[in-house]
Amino acid sequence: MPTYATTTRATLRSRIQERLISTFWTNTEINAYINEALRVWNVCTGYNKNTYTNNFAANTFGYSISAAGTNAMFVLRVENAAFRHLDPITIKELGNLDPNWVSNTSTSPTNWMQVGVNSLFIYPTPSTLQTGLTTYTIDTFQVPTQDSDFIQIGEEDLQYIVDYCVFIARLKEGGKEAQESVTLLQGFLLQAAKYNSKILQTSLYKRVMGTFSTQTRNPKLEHQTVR
Amino acid sequence: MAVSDQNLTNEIQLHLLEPPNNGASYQSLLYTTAEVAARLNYRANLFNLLTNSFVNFTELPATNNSKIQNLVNNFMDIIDVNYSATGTLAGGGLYYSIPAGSSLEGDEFITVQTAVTLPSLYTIDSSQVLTINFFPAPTFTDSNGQMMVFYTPTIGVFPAVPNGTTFQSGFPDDLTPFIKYGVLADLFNKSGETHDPLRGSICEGLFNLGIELARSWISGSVFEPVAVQQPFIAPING
Repeated sequence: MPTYATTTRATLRSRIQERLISTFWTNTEINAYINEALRVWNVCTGYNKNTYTNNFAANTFGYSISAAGTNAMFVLRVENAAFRHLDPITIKELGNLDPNWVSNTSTSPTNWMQVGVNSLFIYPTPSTLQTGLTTYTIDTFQVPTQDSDFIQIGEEDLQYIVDYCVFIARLKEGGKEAQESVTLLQGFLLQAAKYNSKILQTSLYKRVMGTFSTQTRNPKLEHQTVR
Repeated sequence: MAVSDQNLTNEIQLHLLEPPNNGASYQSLLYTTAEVAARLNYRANLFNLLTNSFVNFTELPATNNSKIQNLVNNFMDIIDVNYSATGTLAGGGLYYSIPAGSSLEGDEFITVQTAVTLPSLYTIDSSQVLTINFFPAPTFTDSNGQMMVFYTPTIGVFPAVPNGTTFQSGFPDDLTPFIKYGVLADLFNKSGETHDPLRGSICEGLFNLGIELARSWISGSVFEPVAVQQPFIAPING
């Protein structure tokens, strides 16, 4: 899988320091800001997507989210070894559709359900070992640990990571600097909204089916280039 | 890399212009380690209560011939209840999903509330803390009455002096910055020399941003019957 290999942590930190009075913030501190910015960006956009192939043990009611993937945070979809998808479902739906869902088992599960961020359920509970299930996930962001590590975000978005770090740095200063830096945070969030709007605009069938139930009460930014 | 209480308090110290030492002490004497730990526990639990990010499920023994059913002591909020009169899941017990309801509904529509094999609903409106009520009360033989309960637990279990305790396994590192800002909001909103309402409101805004984001992801996949979707991001005002 290709990875970004353009900007190291050291380079990114120097970009941030160029915008600050560099002596007021240590390298360690700015590294922490970088980690935070990457994590917040990931939660805002679901940027760090991944795919795993797993085996799910038989007769297990509920798996740790790590069963979906080592660093998995949110599950997006699940498919079996025959490339057939399992449908997502919710506790409420299961309770209504199958009152005995906790006890029921099957050799061929049909649904998956994430409960909170920490648990994954396969329904009905598999009575045999399920091999070769592929999970598509959003992982926690693997933050850089060395100055030579490359930042796994595209250059087109990296400027907003710098902005977020400058915002956090100025928040430490307080007063007018902190107040004025809020515009940097707003720019960061706007860029995240643009990223999300592109994904939403390309989800043609989801729009046609009307599954964006919250869209009307939470209007999203229309992406400019994807129609 | 799992984020620990020392990681977060170190960053909190940097925000407060304190020498960072993993939260071991506060040189200005404006804050105490126990105070910061208390705010960290409070904000972690509040975050979880408002987002249902971290959910536990467990089998609990039911109480025979009683509406009152005991839960666990780290319980914060109920998500789903199932009941078996035939033993545990491992023992082949057959669980039934028990719908949520209210005592009023129970009283109006279940005219005979003598003990039954299978309760019709569970309520929290008339239950004591750390319990739920079954309408009607279930009866069972031996110790076969079991509940499979999904609930939101407390996740703030950090000691008064940070010692490297991490968030519970499964709680993602990516959500921890928002909890940190909740702690900072509390510290900036203290009375006296530390009072800084501007930074307090910005930090509170970041805490609330985290709640909205977590709810977007989780509600898309779990609690509402819709496909997973990208979160809507509301503007934040300083």
